Amino acid sequence: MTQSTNTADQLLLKAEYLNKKFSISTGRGFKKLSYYAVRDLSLEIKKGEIFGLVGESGCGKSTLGSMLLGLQKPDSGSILFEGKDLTNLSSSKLKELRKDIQTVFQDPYDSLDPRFTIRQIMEEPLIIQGIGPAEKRTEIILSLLDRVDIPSDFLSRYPHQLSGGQRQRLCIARALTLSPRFLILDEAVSALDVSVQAQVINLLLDLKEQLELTYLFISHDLSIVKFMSDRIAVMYFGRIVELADKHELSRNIRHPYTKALFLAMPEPDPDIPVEVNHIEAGVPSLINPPGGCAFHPRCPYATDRCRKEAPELREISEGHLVACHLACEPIS
Amino acid sequence: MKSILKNKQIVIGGVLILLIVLLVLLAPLITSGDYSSVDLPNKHLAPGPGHPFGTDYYGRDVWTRILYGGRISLSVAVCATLLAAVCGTLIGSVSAYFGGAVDFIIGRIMDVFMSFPMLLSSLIIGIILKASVRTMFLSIGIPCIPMFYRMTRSNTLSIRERGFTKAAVSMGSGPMRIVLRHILPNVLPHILVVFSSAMGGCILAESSLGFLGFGIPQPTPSWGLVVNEGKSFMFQCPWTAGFAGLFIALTVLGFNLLGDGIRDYLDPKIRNSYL
Repeated sequence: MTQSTNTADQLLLKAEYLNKKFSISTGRGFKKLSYYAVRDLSLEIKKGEIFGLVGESGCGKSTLGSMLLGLQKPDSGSILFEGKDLTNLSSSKLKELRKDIQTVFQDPYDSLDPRFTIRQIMEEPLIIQGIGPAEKRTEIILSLLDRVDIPSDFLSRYPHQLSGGQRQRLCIARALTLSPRFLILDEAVSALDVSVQAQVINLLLDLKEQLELTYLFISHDLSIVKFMSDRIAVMYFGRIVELADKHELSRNIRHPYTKALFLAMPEPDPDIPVEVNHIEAGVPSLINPPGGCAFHPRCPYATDRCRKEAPELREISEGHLVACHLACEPIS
Repeated sequence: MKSILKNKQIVIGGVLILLIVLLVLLAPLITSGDYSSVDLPNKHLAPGPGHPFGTDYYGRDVWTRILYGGRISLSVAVCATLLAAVCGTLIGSVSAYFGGAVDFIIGRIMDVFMSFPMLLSSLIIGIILKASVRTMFLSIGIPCIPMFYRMTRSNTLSIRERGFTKAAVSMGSGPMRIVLRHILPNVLPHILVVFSSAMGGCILAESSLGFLGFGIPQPTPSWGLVVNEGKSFMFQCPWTAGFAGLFIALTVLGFNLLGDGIRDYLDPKIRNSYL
C-alpha cells in the first residue's frame, strides 16, 4: 500500500476551512439552537491513497463525507476536486463531476431501492449520466458484477433476495459503474458480519489497485481504518485533531484523544498488558461546546491554557499534524 | 400480465367491479328504464317476475332504481376519490419536498380541514355551491384530501432520507427523476390502500348527504337515496334497502380487494412469493 513517489504529491482533493452548522428546534416556540457539525476543517487527499477518517459518533465524519460528495453544501469554505470548486459549480458541471466522486453507504439494506431489480439498480447511474446504448450498458454492468463476484443470472432479482454481503458488493459495483476516481466509503463495512467484513475489505483493496482509485475511508472502528489506510485523520467535535501517516501515528501519538482511541482498540494477544484508559466517557454537549480546546473536559493533561485557548492544527514533524497545546513531546 | 392473474385478490375484486360497472352501464337494456314514475297500486311488491328486486313505497321498480342509481353513486365515488387522491398526493409531496414555511402553511390548512367532521365540511361546501353532480364530487372529494396529504407527506419525508435517494442524488439525478422513479413508486402502495378505503367512505358519504337533502336532486336515484327511502320500511319490505345496501357493500369489497391486490402485486417481495 505504499505510494510511488511520483504520484505522492499529486493532490486529488483539497478542502479548506469547511464549516457546517445545523439548527434544531427547541420545541419552545420558534427558538432554534444551532451547532457546528464540522468546524474550520481543512484536509488534502492525494491521488491513489486511502485516507482514513476516524472519530466517535456525532463528531462530524459523515457530514464531512456528504459535503465532499456534494450532497450537502458547506456554510463556508471550499472543496477543490482537481482544482474545480465543488461548492459553486453550475448544476450541469456538478453532474459531470459526480461521475468522478461516488460513494458506498453504511447500510446496504437502505441504499438499494426495494422496487428495482439488480439490473435497474446497476443501470440507473448509467442512464442518469446518459451513457449508452443499452448493449454497452449491459456490458459494463456484467463486467462489474463479475468483478464483485455476483453471478450474472442475478440481474432480474430484487435486493431482498440478496444477502447482506452481496448487497454491499452490489452497492460497490453500482458506485463503480461511472468509473469514478474517488470513492467515499462511509462506514461501508460497519453493518456487516466480521467474516463478510474481511471479504468486502479485501475486495475494496483489490479494486483500488486494479482501477487506480482513491478512497476516503470513514469509520468509527480504528482497527479497520488502521488496516486499510495510508494516512489517518482523527476527528473530534467537528475538527481534525491529529493527522499522520499510519506508521507514524501508531509509533508517535501526540494527541491524548488519539491515544485514547488506540487504547480502546481490542488487543488480540492476551499476553500484552492492558493499559488503562484515562478518558472520561461523556461527550460534551454540541449545543454548549466547552471553551478553549473542545477536548479539555475529558483530557487528563488539561492545563489552564487548554481551557481558554483553542489549539490550532500545526505540523510537528513531516506530515504529522496535531491540534494540541501539549503536543511537543509524545504521550507516554 | 400472466402473473397479475395469479393474484386472487385482483381477479376477484376486478371481476366484481367489472360486473357492477357493466350492469350499471347496460341499465337501459336490462331494465324498463323507468325509474321515476309512481305506480301506487303496485307498492311494496316482493321480488318476483317483472320486478326482480321488488318495488318500493311508490311502486317504483327497485332493480331499475339501483342500476340507474349506480351511475350517480359510482361516478361520484370514483371522481371524488380520484380528486382527493390527486390533490392530496400532489400537495403532500410538494409540502414534504419544499419543507420549511411552505410545509408549515399547508400543514396548518390541512389541520383546519381535519378538525371538522368530514360530513360538516361536505355540507359547508354543498351549501356554498349549487346542488349538482359536480358539487357532489367537490363536497365529498375535498374533505378527503387531508387523508391522502398526510399519508403522502409522511412517506415522502421518510423515503427522501433513505440511502437509495441519496445515492441517486450522488449519481447526478435531478429532483424530477427521484420523485418519479423512487419516491412515487414507494408511496404508491400506501396511496392505494387509502384509495380503496376512501372509495367506500365516499359512497357512504354520498348517501348521508342524500339523506340530509344535499344529495342529487330527486327523482334521480342513487344508492344512498334508495337505502334511505327503504329504511323506514325495513321490516315490512327489506328488499329495497337490502339490495341497494348489497350493491354498496359489494362495490366497497371489490375496490378493497383490488386495492390490496395491486399493492401486493407492486411489492416485489410479495409478488415473487407466489410466482
